[in-house]
Amino acid sequence: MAHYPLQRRNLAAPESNPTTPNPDLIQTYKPSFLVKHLTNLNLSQPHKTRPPQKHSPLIDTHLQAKAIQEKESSVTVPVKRTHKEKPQRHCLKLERRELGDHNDKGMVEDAKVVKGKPRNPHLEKHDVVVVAAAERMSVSSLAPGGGRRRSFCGTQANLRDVFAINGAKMVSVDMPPFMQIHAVDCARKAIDSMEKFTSKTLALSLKKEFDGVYGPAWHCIVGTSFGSFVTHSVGGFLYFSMDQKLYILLFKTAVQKAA
Amino acid sequence: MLEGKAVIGETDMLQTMQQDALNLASKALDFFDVTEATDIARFIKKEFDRTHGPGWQCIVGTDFGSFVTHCCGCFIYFCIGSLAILLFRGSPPP
Repeated sequence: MAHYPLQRRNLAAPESNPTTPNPDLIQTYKPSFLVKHLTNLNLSQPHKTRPPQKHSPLIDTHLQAKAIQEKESSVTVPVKRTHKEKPQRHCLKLERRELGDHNDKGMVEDAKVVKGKPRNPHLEKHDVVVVAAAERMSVSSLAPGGGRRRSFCGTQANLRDVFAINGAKMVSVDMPPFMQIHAVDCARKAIDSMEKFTSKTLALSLKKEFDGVYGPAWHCIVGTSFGSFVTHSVGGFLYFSMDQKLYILLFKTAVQKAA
Repeated sequence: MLEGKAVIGETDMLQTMQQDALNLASKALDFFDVTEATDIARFIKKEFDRTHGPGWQCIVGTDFGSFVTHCCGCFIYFCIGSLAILLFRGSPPP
């Protein structure tokens, strides 16, 4: 029942967008550029490997990961497809639940977005090296003036300690330190509690945790070989690696009150 | 050139938008190599943001699991050759 009315609204919405672009929305969202290579495909075309040395270790690490995890070999295409298809089914189910939540938490969501601290220069950078530098500035600037949950806003050293304990390494981040710690802890607990690891399960637990604690709508991508390009809310983006082979992308998009 | 035929795994999208997504992916693979997953994702997302309104997200890769929230009628997951592509709208247009 509720599905059809919403679908109709979406049908009408795209038509009005080209004529009336909303600058406020553009200002709110920051496109993020992630660098992630396909290890197997790089093998067949070594001459196209990017020159920056920082990429080499990643490729080597992935090679080892691929060698160890035979089940994830790209040769078995059918198996991969089966694995990839499953997560989407959860998406469809979750959509209906989230739509209900939108009505309840729409106002809170808007407030959070407005209060977010603007960090445009950091988000606009695409170069890995520059992003790394900006990331450090961003993290350090948050520490002294952290207004939210000061007990969790430790220094940069504390952040590094937490990451080191969990074997996590931040690749790109636009998120308060306490949320970063929360994400890493949640991911570590989820991985340790799994008898058999699957990217889908980890993505599910992370997204549910963040949806429940910080409100909708969060998205989570987990895998060893993927590239992405997303638009996220200010202060709601995290891309990190665990165990030197697994990459986790967690980001937030704003939800609007369904009028 | 297109590496094999596109296979749609899961979708909640109009037929015309589905075709747009498949065409864009095919075009992206002509411009970029399959190893440039991020560039392919950016190309597809930028184009969809331009033609169907803002708020689209795109994930491209050979090995990933996901769990997302999307708008009604704005979700598609398909494979072209060895590459899997996930495209959805995370936030509704204003």
